[in-house]
Amino acid sequence: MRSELTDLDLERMFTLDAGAGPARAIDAGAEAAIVAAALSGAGFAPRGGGGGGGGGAKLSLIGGGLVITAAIVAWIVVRRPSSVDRRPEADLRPQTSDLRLSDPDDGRPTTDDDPVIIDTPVIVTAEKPKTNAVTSPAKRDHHVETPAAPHVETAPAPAPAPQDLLAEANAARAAKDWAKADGLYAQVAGMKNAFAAQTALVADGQLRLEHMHDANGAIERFRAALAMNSRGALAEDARWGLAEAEKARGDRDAEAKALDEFLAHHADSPLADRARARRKELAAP
Amino acid sequence: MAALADPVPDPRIAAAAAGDRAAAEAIARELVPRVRNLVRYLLRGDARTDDVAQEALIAVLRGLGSFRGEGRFEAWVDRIVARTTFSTIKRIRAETQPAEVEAMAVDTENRTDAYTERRELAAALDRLQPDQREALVLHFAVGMTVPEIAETLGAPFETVRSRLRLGKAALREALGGRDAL
Repeated sequence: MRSELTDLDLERMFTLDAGAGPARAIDAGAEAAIVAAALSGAGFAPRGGGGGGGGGAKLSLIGGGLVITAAIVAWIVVRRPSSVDRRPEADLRPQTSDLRLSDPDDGRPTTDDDPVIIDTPVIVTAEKPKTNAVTSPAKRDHHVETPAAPHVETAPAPAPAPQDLLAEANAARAAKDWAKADGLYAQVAGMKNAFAAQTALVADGQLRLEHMHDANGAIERFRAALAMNSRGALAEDARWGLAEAEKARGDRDAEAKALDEFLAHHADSPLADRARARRKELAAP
Repeated sequence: MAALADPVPDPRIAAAAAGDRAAAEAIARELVPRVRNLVRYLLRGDARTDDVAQEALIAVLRGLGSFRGEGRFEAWVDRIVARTTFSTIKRIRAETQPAEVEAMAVDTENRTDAYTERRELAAALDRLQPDQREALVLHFAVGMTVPEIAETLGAPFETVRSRLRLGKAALREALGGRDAL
């Protein structure tokens, strides 16, 4: 009888182990996708990515930008291209659903094995002979009639997907082309996908702070990132960035406030000790 | 999982904390089912389980350096997962109307008895008051004492005791119709 349900029964029923639910059963590929995304989100470099490991959040945060790279990688790994991503967007509304690993179509997490959908339509037009006018000075007077090759016309190129822009921004960053990276991040920050936009904002904030000597711009971006999602993997980076940016501005009160915020939300962070030490320094007369 | 439950800290934990990806991956692979299960116990419905489990796993991996080996690694993990899940629950409550939360179907086809039983338990938990559910899961699944739950939930000691008492009664009611579990 239910009334005979004892604490011992409940302890047995609530057994927490590696199998048998209550989470819905998923396949090994879906589990692997969660693991891959978590590793990347935690700052571990992708396998074969060089460096032998991410060094966890400490290296990522202190190094600046690595965790963002990891977030980008995680995001690229778990997302498959969709027509939605390829549309130009200019909506900065927080979209927490975009943080999901699950494909909204079928509720099943995506895996690397899922087919990639290329949604660039290609239109092949009918062949017709064309006259090619050769315009180089040497041949200006010799119009040569040549049969045209079959003409393949593509539809107007869709806007680049956020993951492509983020990858391009990373490349620009690696090449120390700060202005180009900044522009690309700004482009992604204006897109509808909240995870991509937040990633870009935090990355751009770090870029502004570390390489463009623009603490005000960095603060603006870190705040915008937190406004989109005040929790999750990127919030820690954004809050730490805010404290660093206030330090760069020389505003001790604002820096102290930012550190308090950081410690209030991320007391277990690998950077918490540094934050506490700096907070003490600031409190000293 | 046996290695992680050993009283001597698994060397992979220190290796992963030092940046060894292979060690971190091995730990994550072993933990992911447990993390998903705990998240599901705490979270109403299946829809967000994997998203939250992923966030929780990130928190675990990022915090590996702070594990002192003073208790079972899994217990340490459970606490981080619970904390991460509670953060998400707060966010969900702020964003979602109760009517939007899905009702869970118990998919029992071709499943073991244990799986079916736990899915039914989760379905019963879905019908409880959230604060009662949280207290029950922290107590029976995570193994927290009443004072620990009080600290975790930021609720008075007596309130937690009351939630546990009422939660157990509600759970019995929700599980009504099944004599043997």
